[in-house]
Amino acid sequence: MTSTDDNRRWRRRYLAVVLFLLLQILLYAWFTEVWK
Amino acid sequence: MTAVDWIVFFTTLVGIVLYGIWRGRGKQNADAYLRADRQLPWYVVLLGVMATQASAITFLSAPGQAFTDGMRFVQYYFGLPLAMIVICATFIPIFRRQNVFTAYEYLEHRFDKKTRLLTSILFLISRALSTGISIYAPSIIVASLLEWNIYLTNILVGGLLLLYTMRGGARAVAHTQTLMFGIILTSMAAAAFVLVKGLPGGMGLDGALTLAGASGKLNVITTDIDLNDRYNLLSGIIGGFFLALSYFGTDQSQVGRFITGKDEQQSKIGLLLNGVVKIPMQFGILLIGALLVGLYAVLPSPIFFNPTVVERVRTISADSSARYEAQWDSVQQQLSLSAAFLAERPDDSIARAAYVTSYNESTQLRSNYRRFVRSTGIAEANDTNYIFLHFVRTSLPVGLVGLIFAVVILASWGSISAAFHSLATASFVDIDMLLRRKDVQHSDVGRAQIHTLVWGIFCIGVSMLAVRMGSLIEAVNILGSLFYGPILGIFLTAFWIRRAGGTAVFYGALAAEVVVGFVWWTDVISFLWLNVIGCVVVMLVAYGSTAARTTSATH
Repeated sequence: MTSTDDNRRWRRRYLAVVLFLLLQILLYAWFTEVWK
Repeated sequence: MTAVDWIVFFTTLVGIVLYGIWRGRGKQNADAYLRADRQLPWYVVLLGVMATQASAITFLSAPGQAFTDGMRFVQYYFGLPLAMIVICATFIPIFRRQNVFTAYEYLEHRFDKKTRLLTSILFLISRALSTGISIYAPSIIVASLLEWNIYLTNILVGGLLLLYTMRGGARAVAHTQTLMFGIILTSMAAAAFVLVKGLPGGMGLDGALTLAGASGKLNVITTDIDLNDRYNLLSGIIGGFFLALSYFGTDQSQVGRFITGKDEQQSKIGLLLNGVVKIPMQFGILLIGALLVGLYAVLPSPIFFNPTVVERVRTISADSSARYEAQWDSVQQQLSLSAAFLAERPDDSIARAAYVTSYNESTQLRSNYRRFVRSTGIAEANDTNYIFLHFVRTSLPVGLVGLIFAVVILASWGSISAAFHSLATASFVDIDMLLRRKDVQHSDVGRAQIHTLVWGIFCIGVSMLAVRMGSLIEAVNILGSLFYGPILGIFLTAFWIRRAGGTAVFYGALAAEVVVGFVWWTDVISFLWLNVIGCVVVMLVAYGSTAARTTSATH
């Protein structure tokens, strides 16, 4: 695997972590609203 | 605790110590002792990083925090995943390339000796003092509930782990952390299961959540903009990002964990997964505290959760104590009736209003009682750390009680063993070797072990002093947070301001300390933001003076 492939793979992993964080914030916001 | 609990408690502790000694056996050399030969897989890195961050107080304070203030505390961790990404993309490749033993060693390669020494010494001072407090904080709780001598408890909490940390170094620390964190998570999950299964009939999980929500404790996301409040979305993402970046990227107790990875990939995967699982884990622990609000709205609970303090208050002021307790009984009866009513009719606005009134009365009475405790001259007027343990002692089955008490000690050992090892690594590599003008040799392992022993004894000494420190304990914790931002600023300048030299960053750090000290003294902003300010001031001063020098050189 070339270093360009490797960099691309890591960028995808970083993006996945950011998206997971955003998803969690949305879920927690929904949870807060439901059980207010 | 019953005999079975005591057996579980001591077997768990002795088992971990023996396991640590076994994992650290064999011939040692300095690289193995300091970095586990850089041979550890990602899951050991992940659990090591998590066990280092999570102290006993994490597992006791968090449910208590949710019980008293609500679940918004989880927002404190929202910046953490973003910080993990920056560390994976920037810090790890550089530390790996430079083949460093400590984060501060890199600063000599990049700047000069004085910057390396300054940051290493700042780390040693703050980490040694805070580790002393980390030994004392769970010790006082265990000693109080089990009626043990506090000094002997300090030795149990801070001393036993020295047996394997001193002998086995990084490998023993990492493998015991992995096992201990597994036991901790399993035990907490078991406690949560018993809690949910044991909710009174007719109430169920829905009812407990309704009550917790009506009490305002399921406030996971709070969007108000208040710089003096550390637990809201903005503070959590921005302040939490800088705090996590400085803690995981520049604190040797964490750097010393992830540089043990077999290769760059393993270190990065371990750290990135920490960013994935940390927030859900904290959410789960906080949810236990929120569910306890529901449980103790229906079932009886004490007015104050630290039984030792209640006893002491009774002997100091019997009449007032009896008055408070009688008042509490009546408030609690009212609360229990209104809670049962609301749990059955979650959509009934009258039931909700009646419950909220009763709940507010109960929190008001508890707050009055805390003021009363303080007025009797007793310093421990905060019972947050005792709330979850009250549930453990009164509701968990035999065996699990002993296991949870062992978990309190294990959680301490996870972070304290990493702290001892990192203090020893920093003082050995950054100071001892530097002063002797030598590189780390394989045969130096005995010397590194002595560093571990000395730091262990020093930190236990601090925990002994903490018994008499009182309010100074908070000052020690604040001291650490005053250094974090400027140290992060030094590292980010090193990575991102290519032309900045050692002198510019050194004065930048001194200027940042002055600014951070002043802002803290004025008390206008939550401490989370001090990291942001400290970091930004170092970078601005370093950039400004470098740019000014470049401009004057070209004219």
